[in-house]
Amino acid sequence: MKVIARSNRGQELPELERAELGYPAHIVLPITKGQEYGVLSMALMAPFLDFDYFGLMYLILRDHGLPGWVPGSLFEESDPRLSNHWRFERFPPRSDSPWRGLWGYDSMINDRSHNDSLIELEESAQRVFLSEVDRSCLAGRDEEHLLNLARSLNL
Amino acid sequence: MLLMAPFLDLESFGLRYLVLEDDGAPSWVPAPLFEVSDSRLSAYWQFKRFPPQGRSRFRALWGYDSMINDPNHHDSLMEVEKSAHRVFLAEIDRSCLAGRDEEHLLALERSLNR
Repeated sequence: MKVIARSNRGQELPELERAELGYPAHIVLPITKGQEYGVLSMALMAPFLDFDYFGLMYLILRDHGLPGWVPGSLFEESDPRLSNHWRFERFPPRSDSPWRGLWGYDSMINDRSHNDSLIELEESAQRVFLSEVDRSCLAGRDEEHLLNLARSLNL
Repeated sequence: MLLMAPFLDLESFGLRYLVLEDDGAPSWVPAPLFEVSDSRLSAYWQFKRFPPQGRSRFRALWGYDSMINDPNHHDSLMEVEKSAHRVFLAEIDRSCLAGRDEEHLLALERSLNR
């Protein structure tokens, strides 16, 4: 799946979503309006403040070249086809997880520590990410970012 | 897979699966009634997100081509229209079938040929 950024500004998000995500209105995310990005995993957030909150997050390669989660409501779908290799997991409403559902590559679903390690920039998680992301979903500058990430890991 | 806007039971969060129910008809069922036994998604699924302020009660939809790209397909399928059943039979991913699904599909095919 590929998406195009509508905006990179927190003020474009619904107020409820900003509150749920803890984003200040003036936040500027490292994405570029009009730029296409591949969606490399997808998460349905559990509501924290208000049960009416619906938050889908996309894992993309942000403009600094690293994978990170961004609110889906800042994007429009440009290619609706999901990866051929994705898996799904649902989380019970009262679980400790911040998520209700997760769609993504093998380790994102089956390795409980993978996402945290990836977000904390652990090299082992970045290696897994590089080996498992579906290259057919890449768009825009994703390929360049993956090459840079591989170089930084001496791959 | 369908995500509906919260309506009555806010905690259910409205995630539903389209399954072949025991009467053999495709229907949406609440996800909390199930556990995931095989996490692999169909290789052919697409995704659509609905604007939060839109008229639709759907928030997001994951599924086969016509479920995503034909705005009438979902309602036609729920209204048991034969044309929608034909599309359903042609487009669903048979690698995702389980239990009595195959038997139900055969019965559905037979009913359309009558």
